[in-house]
Parts: sequence; structure tokens; C-alpha cells
Amino acid sequence: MYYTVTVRETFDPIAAKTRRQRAQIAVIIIVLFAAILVLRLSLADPQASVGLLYGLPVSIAALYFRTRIAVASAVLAVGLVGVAALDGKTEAWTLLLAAVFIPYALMANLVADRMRRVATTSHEAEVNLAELIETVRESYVRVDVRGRIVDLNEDAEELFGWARDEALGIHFADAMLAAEPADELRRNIALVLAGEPAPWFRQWHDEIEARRRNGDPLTVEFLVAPLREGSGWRFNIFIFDISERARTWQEHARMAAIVQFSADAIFSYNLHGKVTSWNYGAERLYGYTAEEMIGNSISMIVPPDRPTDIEWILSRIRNGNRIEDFETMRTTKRGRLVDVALTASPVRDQNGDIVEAALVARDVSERKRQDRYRQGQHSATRVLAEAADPAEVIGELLAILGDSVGWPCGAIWYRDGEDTRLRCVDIWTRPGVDSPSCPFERGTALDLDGPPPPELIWDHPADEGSPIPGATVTAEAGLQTVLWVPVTIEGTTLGAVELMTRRRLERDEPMIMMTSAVSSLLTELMRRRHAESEAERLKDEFFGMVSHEMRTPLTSIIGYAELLADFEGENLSEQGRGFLGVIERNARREMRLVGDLLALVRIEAGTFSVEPESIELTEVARQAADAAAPRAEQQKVTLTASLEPLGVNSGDPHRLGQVFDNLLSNAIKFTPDGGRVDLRVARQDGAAIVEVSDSGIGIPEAEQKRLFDRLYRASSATDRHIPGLGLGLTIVRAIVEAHGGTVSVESIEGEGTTFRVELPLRPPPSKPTSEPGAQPSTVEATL
Amino acid sequence: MAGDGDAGRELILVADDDEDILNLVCFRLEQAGWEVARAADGAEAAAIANERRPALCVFDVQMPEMTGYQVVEKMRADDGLKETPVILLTASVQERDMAKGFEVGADDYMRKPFDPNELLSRIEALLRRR
Repeated sequence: MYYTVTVRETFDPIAAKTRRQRAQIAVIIIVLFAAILVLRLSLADPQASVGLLYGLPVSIAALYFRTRIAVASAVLAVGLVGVAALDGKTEAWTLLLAAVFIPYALMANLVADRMRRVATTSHEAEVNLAELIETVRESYVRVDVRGRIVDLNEDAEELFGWARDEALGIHFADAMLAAEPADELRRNIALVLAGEPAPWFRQWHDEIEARRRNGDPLTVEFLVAPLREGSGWRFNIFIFDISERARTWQEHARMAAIVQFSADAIFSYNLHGKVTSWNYGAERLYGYTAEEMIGNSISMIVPPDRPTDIEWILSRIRNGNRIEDFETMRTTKRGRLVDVALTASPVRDQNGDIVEAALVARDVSERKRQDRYRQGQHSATRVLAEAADPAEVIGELLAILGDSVGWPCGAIWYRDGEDTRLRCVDIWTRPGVDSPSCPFERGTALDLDGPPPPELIWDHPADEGSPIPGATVTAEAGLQTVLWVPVTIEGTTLGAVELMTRRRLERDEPMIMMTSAVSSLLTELMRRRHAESEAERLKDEFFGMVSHEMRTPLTSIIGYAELLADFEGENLSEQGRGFLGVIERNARREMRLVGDLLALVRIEAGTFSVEPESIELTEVARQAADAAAPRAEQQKVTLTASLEPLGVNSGDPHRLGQVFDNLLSNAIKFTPDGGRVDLRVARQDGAAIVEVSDSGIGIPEAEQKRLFDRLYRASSATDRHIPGLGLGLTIVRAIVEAHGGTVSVESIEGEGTTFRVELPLRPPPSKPTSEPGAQPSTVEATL
Repeated sequence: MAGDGDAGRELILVADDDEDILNLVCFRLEQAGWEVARAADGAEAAAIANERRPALCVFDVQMPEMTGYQVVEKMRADDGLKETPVILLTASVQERDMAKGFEVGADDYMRKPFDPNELLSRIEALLRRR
């Protein structure tokens, strides 16, 4: 019985970590050998004592140097038995020695093996070796042929929760093992007893289910070493608690599973950009499987226009920096661009060197898409707000909408007069190699069965009965989704903006909201514009008519008065000829007034324009001065003209004549008897300077600014009841500005006024005007 | 006042729906020695132009039946009248009306009220240039 104790004590050196424990073991062995020596010496057999003396230091060394010596010890033990057998002196003590050493060696070797395995497994599992060793306890239970516990160590007590006293004698397999390993143990014990090989013994079994006394499950690895003892068998069972390791593994597996199946893309690549891991989220985001990516360059998913992206990330990683929420774009396997936010962290090896970049990529396409929609809407609004005519920017709007929704092409349709026909007035294709081009072209006409759809439609043209005009053509071009945005004003669809894409997409509400917002704005502006231009047209028509209707009778009055003067003048008295002059003069005044009112209407409407021809400004001025002379004379005002020849230039002779007429008639009108009016035309710095100065009543300084306002009349004029409508200067300014010039006034009340006009001298228009047209009409230049 | 020795032999077609103005223009032209044909609306003007092949035409723009523009367009489509000079007379002050006159093929235009001497000199200039 004490052998068992010995075996147990000598077996346990690995667990005996402290010096004191080892010393105790050593003492036991020395005592043991000393006892054997005494026993042997008393038998007086010197040969045996040599073997004994030889074995002693080896055994002690085995204790201290542990397992490497174990094999040597076993060999030695066998050798001793062999030597004794050859001498024919096989005695009980030799067998005893062998019995001590062989199981010792066997077990020590197994333990060493186990230690190596633990170390190896730990390394493979990337679990910290030191930590694992710390957690590893080796337990030992010894059972008899009926499986009852005959011995167990403290670790086993602790592991299973059984106190030694309670545990001894109970059935090990029933108490401490799950059903399956318990059966295996019983079956193999039976095999051993039957003298048959027991394959289950002498090897480590992984993940054996065991249980503690309180019922908690345990996961263990264990090995059963059958050992014949005297007449019977004992079974030494070595047990490793791997629950802790299983937990570590489980933890690791859980983490791996979390990473693997995370919806976020988690992957890593080394400092050369070669992919080292690639999870399910990455597969889903980028479309490439782990097999396709691992070992290949990450540049596979980098769009060609961002070649420095990876290098930038790696340069930061190399410096040990983390990158957070770096927004960029990546290309999926199918060639689609996705917006991603990347977070990258350096991964270090056991030496602390940075070896990899670990990345988490989030798909921010949705947010980016919303951003783009918003920006698109802003741009569209701005373009519309700045456009003089919304119809002119529809092409630009189409491009803005297409860009912001990322669809490849679009078309603009106008309704072609007839109710059921649409004509393509413009198309747009997103720049880029992959963009399918618009299946329509400018001028394409679509004959429909009815009026074009008046409401916004999201549809798939390939579907039967699609309401999208031209659906067949669109579907044949491989465009699967169409957004139809009509412009409908007062129930009439004037046209539509159509966006098309190759992918079959379900309704994208934010996109529809964005496009309908732009479309309503466009519609509203077009409606307003439509109403305005209609009002404008009516006004124009009205004034055109007024002009025509008023001028036609005046034409007759003037014409016949002239006729009378020319052909019957000699038959009239002097007084009669005077009366005729009055008729003609007043008819012309009326005519000029009509002209001024019309000019004013156009200035107001912003449609005032001039017709440049080849003119000599000096000549226009001379005619105006000649025309003003009788009036000046009548008012006893001295009119002088200083005219520098300026050559032939560009200008509207009729309108510029009006400028001189208005300025001169004003000057004469506001200058009292005996005063003077001076007209000067000169060249100065490439411009013509026209000055009309008078020694008149002047204009109060505070009123000078308002002088050019419509219908404004200076107080100095109204106070003196000088007639006028206040149109002249407004028209002067409009004419001068239409020629690219400026007009200004200087005046001192009571002393006089100077109007100064600066006109850029432009070369005459290249298109020759008709020969007689070069002569300014004398009609309106005559007062 | 106007016209050289040949003037009397040449026919000038005048069209205006306002009878007073038609008479005024015709009187002036006749006084200057031209032979004058009269038309009271556009359609009549076109018919006379086609029939009598005038040397020159003076048309009011706004006439019933056919506007002055339409008469000019019709004449320009006819090989025999393609080159006949046309002066448009208009009471309109709208620039675009003038522009349209040249577009359809008129050679000159004058605003009403017109200076009779100027009208005569323009007629002579156009006939000289022929």
C-alpha cells in the first residue's frame, strides 16, 4: 500500500513548485533508497547495491531536472532488471525498483508531453501562454478495477469539489463524469481486466464532460494510465481542467463570430496593402468574398481617382496613428461607387511592431445621398432664382438633378403643340465611362395615345403598361427605372424632365421629394414668367396699337399741312401760312409726346433699346442745334454751338438726336430772356463729351439726384409754372446708357446748369446700313 | 424737286389702308413725276404687283387681308418680283417691326410721319442701285 503513496508523492514533482515541497520529496526518496540499501546490505549482495547506488543519483536528478531524465530513468530501470536477470539473480528488490521507475518515467514523460501540448496549443490559440499556464492545474485521481476512487490529490479535490475523505471509495465515473466518458472508462477497464488492448487508455481525450460535486459542468482533458499493481490493477487518471481555456476559446470564438458576422465591414491589411482578414460585413459592403480578397491588394476596391488613399492611411498607421471617420469612396465588385467612413487602427505584433492596419468601414452612402439631394436642391433653387427665364435653365437643372441623384442620363421633353406629341429638346448624360447614354436625342418626337402624364411618376419602363412616354425605347436601352417630372401649369402639361437609370430601383422617397420640390419651384417660376410675359405681351401690343392709332392721324395732319404749304402756299395769305405753321408745329409736338410716352413704357419694362448705325455725332448735334435755333431766337436766348468733328461712329441717330433735342429744349425753356445756351461736342479720352450749359434758373442741389427720375420735375420749374411732363431727362438717360454712356448734371441755383453726356466712341457697325438710312430723319429733329 | 428724265415711265405701287395717307403719298410721287398704282390692302397690292410688275413698291405694314410683310414675302417667292425694291412705311416705333421688315426682304423702311423729300430720295437711291 505504501508504494501507492510513494508513487503518488514521487509522481507529483511538477505540481510541487516550492523548494520546500521538492526537498520533502527528495527526503522521502532518499529514505526509501536508504531503506532498500539497508535491506539489500543485510542480504549481502554487492552487485545489487552497485545498481542501487547508481540509480539513486539518477532518481534525484530526475526530480530536479524533471522530465528529460525520465526516459533515461526508465531505460536505467529496464537495464537494471536486465543485468539482474543475466546474473540469474532476479530478486524481489530489482523488480521493485523497476516497478518504481517504469511508471514514474511513463508518467513524467506524459506530463512533459502535456506541458508541451499546452504550450503549443496556447500559441496556436494566440492566448497568452503565461496566463494559461497560470490557470492550468493538473489533477490526479486513482481508481480501482471497479472504478472506485482509491486516491486523489488536492487539485482533484479542488477541481471536483470533493473532500478527500468523502471522495475515497465512491465511484469516480458516476460521480464525476458525464455518461459517455463514464461508459468509455468502464468499457476499457473491462477490456484491461480481460487482458485485451484498451485503445481508449494511454491517450489524451479532449473535451470530456465532467461535473463538480455541486453539479456545475466541467470541461476537462484527461488520460487514463492503467497500472498493474501486484495482483491487481490501478488506473491513474490525470485530469486537466480546460474549462478556463474553453472559456478563453469560447471568448475568442465569440469575438471572432462577432467580427465575422458584424454588419460593419471589418478587415485588415498589412503595411503593403495586402488584405489579411475580411469579414462578412466587408463581403456585403464591397461584394468581394474573403477568398477573393485575402492575400490580394486592397487597391482592388479603391477608385482610380483616389490613388493615394491607401498610402495615406498606411503612412498614418506606420506612425502609430489612428484614423477616425475618414470619408472616402470605394468601388464594389459590381463597379458601383459607395461612400464609406473608415476608422483604422494599427495592429502590433508581440514585439510591439506595427504590422497591420485594422479597419472598420461604415457605408455612409445613404447619408451622403441625402446630403447630395439637399445640395442638389440648393443648387437647383439657386440656378432658378438667378435665371431670367426658368425655361432657359432647364438643361442645367437636369444636370444638377442627375448629378445629385447619381443617375446616368436624362432628357427634357416639350409638348409639341399638338396634345399628344412630345419633342426632346435636350438630353444629358453623366460624364463617365460606364454611363449608358440617353436613348433619345435632341429632336426625337414621341407620339402618345393621349396627353403626357401630368403628375410625377416613378416607374419601371420594362413593366407592361408603363405610363412613361417612350417606355419601350427606354427599356430596350437597358434603363430600368425612370423618374418622370412633368411641368404642369394650370392643368396643362408643358413638358417634363425625365431621369433614367440602369438599375431597377424601388421608389426612393427622399429623391422624389427633392425632385418634386425642384419641379414645383420650376413650375411656379414658369407660371409666373408665363403670366408676366403674357402681361408684357399685352402691354406691348396695347402700346403698339396706341402708337399706331395715334401716329396715323398725325401723319395725315402733318402730311397735308406740308402739302398745303408746298403746293397751295402761294395762294394763302401771310396769316394763313402762319396758321398752317401752327398746325404743323403742334402736330409734331404731339407726335414727339407720343414717342416719349412709348419710350418711357419701354424704359419701365426694361425693353428699351437702340438701333446702332453709322453716324456722325457732330452732324446729329448740328441738326439739333439748327432745329432749336428758332425757339431760342423766339425766347431771346443766345444759342452757340462748338462742334469738334468726331468722324463716323456707331449710334442710333434718331435716339441721339432726341438727347440733343431734349437737353437743348430744356436749357432754352429754363433760361430767361437775354440768357445763353452753349452746346459743345468734343473728343476726350476716346469718348465724346457733349455739354449743354445754360445761364438759367438752376436746380436746387438736393433735387439734382432725382432729376433723372421718371416724371420728376425740379421745384425751380414747378414754382415758375414752366410746362413739361418730366419725361425728357429720363429718356435722355435711358438713351445715353443704352449707348454705354453716362449723363451728369452740375447746377447752381440762380446761376445756371450744365448737363454733361459722355458717350464711348465705338466703331460703326460692320453691316452696312441702307444708304439713305445713314441720314437721320429730320422729322423729329425739327421743333 | 425729284426724279430724273426716266422717272415718268416707271411705275411705283403704293399700298396703305388709310386712304388719306395713300392719297398723300401718291400725290407726292405723282408730283415728282412717277406713274403710280394704288392698293387699299395687302391682297390688292400683291395682285397688282403680280399683274403690273412695278419698278418699286411703297407698302404700309399694318394692312388688312395681308400685312406689308406678307406681301413682301409673297413677292420674294416670285422670280419676277424677287428683285423689285420695297420700302415699308410704318407708324410703329417697335424696333422689332423694323427688323422683321428686313428679315422678310424689304429694302428700306421709313417711320410715319415721313418727310416727303426723304421718301423721294430713298426711292431714287434704290432705283439707282438696281
